Amino acid sequence: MSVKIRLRRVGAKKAPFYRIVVADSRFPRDGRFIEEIGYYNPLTEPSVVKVDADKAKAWIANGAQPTDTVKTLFKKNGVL
Amino acid sequence: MRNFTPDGVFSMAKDMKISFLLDFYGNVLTDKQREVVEYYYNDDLSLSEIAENEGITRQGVRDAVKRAEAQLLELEDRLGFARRFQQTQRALQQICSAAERIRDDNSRCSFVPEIDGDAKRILEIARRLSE
Repeated sequence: MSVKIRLRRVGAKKAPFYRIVVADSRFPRDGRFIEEIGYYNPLTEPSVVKVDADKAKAWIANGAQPTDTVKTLFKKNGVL
Repeated sequence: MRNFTPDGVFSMAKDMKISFLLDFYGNVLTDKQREVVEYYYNDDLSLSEIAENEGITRQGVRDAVKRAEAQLLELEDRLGFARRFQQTQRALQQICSAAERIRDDNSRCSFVPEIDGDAKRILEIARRLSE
């Protein structure tokens, strides 16, 4: 079983807001996730990324794969 | 529309602006196309994960995503609904803060009920519009 760290869009139409979640790669669409470790709000100026860096690092150390999008957000915010 | 987010989100592998454009023009895409693009942007799946789930090739998914992206960007280029929406939202926020300031200043100086009433009405209307 592989574990991914990815964005998941929540929130209303025309108001994008994303959770950063740790999820089993096999269940992408049923809304299940293992843990929420942060969020990304692109609407504010500047956009806001909030991540529990310790949790993110722990998950990555345990083999969780961040998507490219999440990786970019992490790098931009000094998590990685 | 190049300025959807001001701080370099375009350098990301996925252009999250597409996720926003889907809200405006998603209905123009076919059900299948929209589904694939939603997986890609709203659920942040990779092309191969989508391919696996849908039983099509990775290249097939990629083509579908690219085609949909081009359509969405083209529509925004011509119609500009997303850009207009954002401009309006920002303007409404500014109107709200200005109205709040007027009420604050008014209540600190010599309170004029008419000024407060009007500022309050402006605030209510602007808030309703931005919902």
